[in-house]
Amino acid sequence: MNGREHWATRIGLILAVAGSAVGLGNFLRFPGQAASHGGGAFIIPYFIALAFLGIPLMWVEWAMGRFGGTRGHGTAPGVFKAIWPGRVSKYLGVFGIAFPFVVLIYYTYIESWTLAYSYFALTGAYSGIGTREEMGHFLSSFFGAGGSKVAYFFFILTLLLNFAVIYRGISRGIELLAKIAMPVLFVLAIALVVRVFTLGTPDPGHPDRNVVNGLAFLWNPKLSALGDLNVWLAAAGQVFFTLSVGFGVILTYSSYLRKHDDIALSGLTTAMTNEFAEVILAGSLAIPLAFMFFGPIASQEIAKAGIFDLGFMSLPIVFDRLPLGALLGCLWFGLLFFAGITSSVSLAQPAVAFLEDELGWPRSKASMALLVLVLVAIQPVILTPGFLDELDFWAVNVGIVVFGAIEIIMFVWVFGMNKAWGEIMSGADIRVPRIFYYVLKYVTPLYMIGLLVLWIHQQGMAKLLLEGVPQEEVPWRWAARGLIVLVIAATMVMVGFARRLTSEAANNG
Amino acid sequence: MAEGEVARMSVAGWAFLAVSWISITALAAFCIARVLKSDKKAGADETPLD
Repeated sequence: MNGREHWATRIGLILAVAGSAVGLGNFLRFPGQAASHGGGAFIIPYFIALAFLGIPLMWVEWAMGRFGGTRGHGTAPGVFKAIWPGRVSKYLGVFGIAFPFVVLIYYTYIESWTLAYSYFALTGAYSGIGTREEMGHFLSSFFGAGGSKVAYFFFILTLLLNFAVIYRGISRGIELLAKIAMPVLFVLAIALVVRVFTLGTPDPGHPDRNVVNGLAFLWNPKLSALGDLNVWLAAAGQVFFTLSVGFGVILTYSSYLRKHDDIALSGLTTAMTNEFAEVILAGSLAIPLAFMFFGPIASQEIAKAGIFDLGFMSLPIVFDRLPLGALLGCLWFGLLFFAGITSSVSLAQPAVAFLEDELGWPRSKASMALLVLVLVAIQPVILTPGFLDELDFWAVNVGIVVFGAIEIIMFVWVFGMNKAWGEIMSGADIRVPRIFYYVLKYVTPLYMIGLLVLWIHQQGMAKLLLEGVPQEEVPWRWAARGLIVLVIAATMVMVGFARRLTSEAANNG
Repeated sequence: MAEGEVARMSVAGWAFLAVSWISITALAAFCIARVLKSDKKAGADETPLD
């Protein structure tokens, strides 16, 4: 027995993984993506990607994590080494630590905005601001490039809350948080959906701007969109992002399972919990609300503008116009905060687990080291323009697809499909249909490789050369790329060091 | 679409919404029921994983 921590209860594990998956992307990214990529038609490539990409990859991460965890490894380098004892295998796993760490840096910052806006809503700080442009100025005055005392205060508070959870460990920290935050999140979301559905026609001057037509704005299918490859790419990207697959965090969470614990049912349950939050609850909130208050033309602009416009510039205005708007605004941003913190602690866990498992650090030391690193690395994110966007693009849009492809190739082709299938079915509480054997072996890897090729063909060079980026952001975007390379290189060095430690331990043993 | 012109919910829109909501809710309910059933079978409401 390797003496690693374990989850105390199964429901705690499921809520923790669901908490990792249910994040800001569910409530802000999905509705915008669906509304701007064919409405109801978006759901077709979305469900196809969920069935052939998201759920299979989720089972792969669960199975790899449990496999590695029983051998004393909780992160991708050690797990890959256990699967394939080749020289390079550990180094292929560095992305499963480096990318979650990069995302953690800026994700915690955005999460702190939700905490700040909960406070702003209650205190009426943005009350009376009537346009998105003015609300954009309000947002920039606190969280724009250059930072502010308010930005630092809420960031440090959020960071400390995160690290209090991480410091307490798996069962007393992350699992306890999930058991409290996830039920609260669902209660808040359902309460807000009930409020949205009972709004009727909030503006008597525009009787057509009601909740049913708001849902129509999101769900009426534009079937011609199915011929657009970008829609398929966007749907696959959303599935990846929303399920938290390809980050390496599920792999780390499932490494705290025991050898014969179920993963097939637990993995599917977390995926469907996430889908309930995303398609049903989130799909009934942001975009229908924006439609009711801003109308169809502006809502289209808001959907295309992305999560910052929708979440922090449009919806505060909407809540401010409603009765009990301060309370509703506070609930909305509180919901986002709970969604954020259950995701951010999962992003921190791979780095902490690596320091514990492979370098033998105590959890307290590993947590403190990560806290200091995030505090240093956040500075350019707060102070410079474009830095956050660049980190986000490479870590999320590219990194998780690349790492997801490495994971599935490693598991089904290198480890071997029969052994991989045996791992997924070991201890399973449900019978996974045999068709998924072939989906995992052929469809999912080819789907992922196809996505990467398509993305490189359509957007790769333009993104690489920073086409269309404002000139003042260019140096900072290159600096962000430098930080990503530095994080990957530093992780590689530590992995090399850990490998020697393992060899030395083996030789001495 | 001109300003003020609002598309109403089409039959296809209702169909996409209903199929999505029903299938997700049904699958989520099935999964949660199975988790609770297997936990109950193991003799506890919250199955200790050890």
